[in-house]
Amino acid sequence: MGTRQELADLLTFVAQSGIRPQIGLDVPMRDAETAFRAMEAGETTGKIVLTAT
Amino acid sequence: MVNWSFMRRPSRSEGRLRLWTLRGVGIKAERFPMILGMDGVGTLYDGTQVVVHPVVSDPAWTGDETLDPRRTLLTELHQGTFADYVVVPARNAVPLPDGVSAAHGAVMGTAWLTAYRMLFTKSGLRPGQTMLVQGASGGVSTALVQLGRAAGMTVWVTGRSEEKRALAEKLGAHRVFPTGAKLPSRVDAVFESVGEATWGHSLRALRPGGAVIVCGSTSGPNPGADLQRVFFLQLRVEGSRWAPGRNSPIC
Repeated sequence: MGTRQELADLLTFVAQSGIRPQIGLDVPMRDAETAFRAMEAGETTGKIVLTAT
Repeated sequence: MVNWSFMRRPSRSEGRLRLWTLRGVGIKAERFPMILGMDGVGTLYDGTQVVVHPVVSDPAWTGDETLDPRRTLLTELHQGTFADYVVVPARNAVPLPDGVSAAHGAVMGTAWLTAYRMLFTKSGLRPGQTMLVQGASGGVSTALVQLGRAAGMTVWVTGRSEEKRALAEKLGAHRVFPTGAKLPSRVDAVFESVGEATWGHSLRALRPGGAVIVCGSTSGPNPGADLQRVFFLQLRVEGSRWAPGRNSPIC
């Protein structure tokens, strides 16, 4: 974790540098269980994102 | 009274930490039921897209929020981001810059923020210096590799498997090594989250006056201290908090 200011500075750095985190799985919220099971089984590389629909 | 912000239609990301929360680690029993999710991006009612800063400090606290003894992390006291509507103190909603997607912004609040603080606030590294990241595939490690590369550091990574080391190279590592391997030269700073399995190697990897920044101890919290090396080479050991609760086995 870090401070609010560090988060704001991180976001600016990411925007300007062009680096982006690796997203392993991007699924709708209703599939959260599938996402958790995939994470527990180590089936994904990168972040799992759940999106409200 | 604090101003709280409402946001809707959020994206949020999950790390392994939430599995620990589901098992009751790092959260007091009387706090349940608790909505999971520390990270997230949402839209305020005025249309502004914002990233959630999950460190909620006392309204009276000024300065570094992470040092407030009364601060909580989202899901410890206040409800988390796995919801259609999320409410956080207004200062915990940080504008999402143009050009960064909601999905990418949604993973910034914990692992990436931890890595940013370790690298740019704690380590004292300057562009051109060499950093070693112990562990190739974790959320903080991968963020350290990408941030360090983008900032002009020479980035070395150790990883247990060929697959993990290949991931580190793909993300920008200049050199990768098997865990515990002899390195071609000493480094300026080491980034630790592994603990007992790598700590001795981390201290031996440092040049005189170098620093080890530690945010976790997944393999165990009590390695040999190697104190003679610490004082003889004037090494610096710097702690930096990751996310989980005090009793969590991953912190």
